[in-house]
Amino acid sequence: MSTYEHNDPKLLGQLLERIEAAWKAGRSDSVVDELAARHPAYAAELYDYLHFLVVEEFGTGPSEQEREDLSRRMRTWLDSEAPRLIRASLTRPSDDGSPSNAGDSGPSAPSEYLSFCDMLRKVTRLRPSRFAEALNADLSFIDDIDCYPDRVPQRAKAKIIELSSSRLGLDSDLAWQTLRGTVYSKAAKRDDDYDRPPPTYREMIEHSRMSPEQKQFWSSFIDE
Amino acid sequence: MTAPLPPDEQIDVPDSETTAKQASRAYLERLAHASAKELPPEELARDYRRALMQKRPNLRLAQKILARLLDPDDQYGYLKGVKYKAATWKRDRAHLAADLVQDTAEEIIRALPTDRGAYAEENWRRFTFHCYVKCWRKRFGKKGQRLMEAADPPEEAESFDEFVTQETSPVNLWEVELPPQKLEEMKRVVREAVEPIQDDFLRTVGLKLLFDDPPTVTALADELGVGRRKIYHALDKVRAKVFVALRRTRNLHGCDDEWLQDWLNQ
Repeated sequence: MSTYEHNDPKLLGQLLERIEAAWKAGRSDSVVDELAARHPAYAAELYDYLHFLVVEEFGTGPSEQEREDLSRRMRTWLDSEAPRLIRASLTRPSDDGSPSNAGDSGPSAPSEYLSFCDMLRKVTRLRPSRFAEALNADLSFIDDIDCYPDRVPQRAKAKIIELSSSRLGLDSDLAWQTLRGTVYSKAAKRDDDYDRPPPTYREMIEHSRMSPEQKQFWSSFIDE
Repeated sequence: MTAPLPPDEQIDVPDSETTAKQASRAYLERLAHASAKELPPEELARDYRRALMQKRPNLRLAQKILARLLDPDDQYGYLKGVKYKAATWKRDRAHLAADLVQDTAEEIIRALPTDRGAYAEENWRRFTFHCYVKCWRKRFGKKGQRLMEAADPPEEAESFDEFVTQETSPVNLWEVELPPQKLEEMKRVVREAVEPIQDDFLRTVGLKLLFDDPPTVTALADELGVGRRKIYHALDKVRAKVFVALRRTRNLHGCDDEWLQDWLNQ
């Protein structure tokens, strides 16, 4: 039965390297059998990697239409989520437990601290762009609110918490707590120079990619 | 000598060794216009990690590099292996393939600044493969135990059962038009490629489905007590191996490349 039951990434890397070298040298398929015989725990991944190499060179891949769809989807996803994912990759250990190397270069968030977006993600298990949509906003706006809650008018915070509670089931008290963590959230995310002034609430709206209606909606909470 | 960027456009990279290169307009030009050969993904991965793993991470630069590494149009082919491997799932559902590609891209972003990401500087292809495998496991289970429920039947079929029963045999290797003697030669090559497979399940699937009177996938799934998608998944790997063997020996049996490639991609 095909399984991935081993725990030595270094050895696996060496085995894959040999398969790749044999593939480049003479399009050989027999090396994979030899290596799998010697390291049966890795067999599934070794055959999987040969398949990867073969389809990369000789596969038909996605159809023209699928390519276009994928390209559109990836572009939208990269535009909306990559900045946030990059920041997240700096502040969290990877899920295999290996530490983020950037962690020793500045203050990091206490382990019990969760940002507003983190909490939404944890509670809803939705992609960030989805929960932003449910909050009648876009991700960059939500992200700015998360990073600079002290720049956000109370009424706007109250509205976003009300929406996250009614539409996404987030606990209001917890949401209020996350939007108070201004020091940790900003320091941990490190998306800007520390000496650059934080954006105003108006700038958050202007710099977002929200629709005019959404911008108008959130502008209505600007304090006079 | 390229002029430095004006202050308001300057990309802040404090690391002294990399500043000169990365902060220059020349670097951005290269990022935008160099071919994949001139700017291999390993080099980009290294620059990306440097941009992030300094005292003050340079997110603007990292984002620019990432936009090229994960280029949605894939004009540089950095994610070709992932996309092509994921595409083998499109028989189930086209967007399942796209989901796998996006999951992998997300995993790449997550892994690059970690210790695992150092591997990307060494060999991008293998790094992306690891990320793909990790996402695959997350979706389908370590042993593929969620293969059955994770993917829905294609929209045109009312159920996966209907989808499967529409197919008699997914292989049809012996429909190739060759003289009997050449066909025997070809069978020998296939047998020599399948029999030494060191994974019991893959070998069984290969031996059952690639030779005379193959059972339907449904029948084989019932016989082996697994889901049909698991059979297809195994068959893809066996077929890749057989394809390599047949291609290498095409002078012996005379099977042409185009036919073989169609067979691989059916």
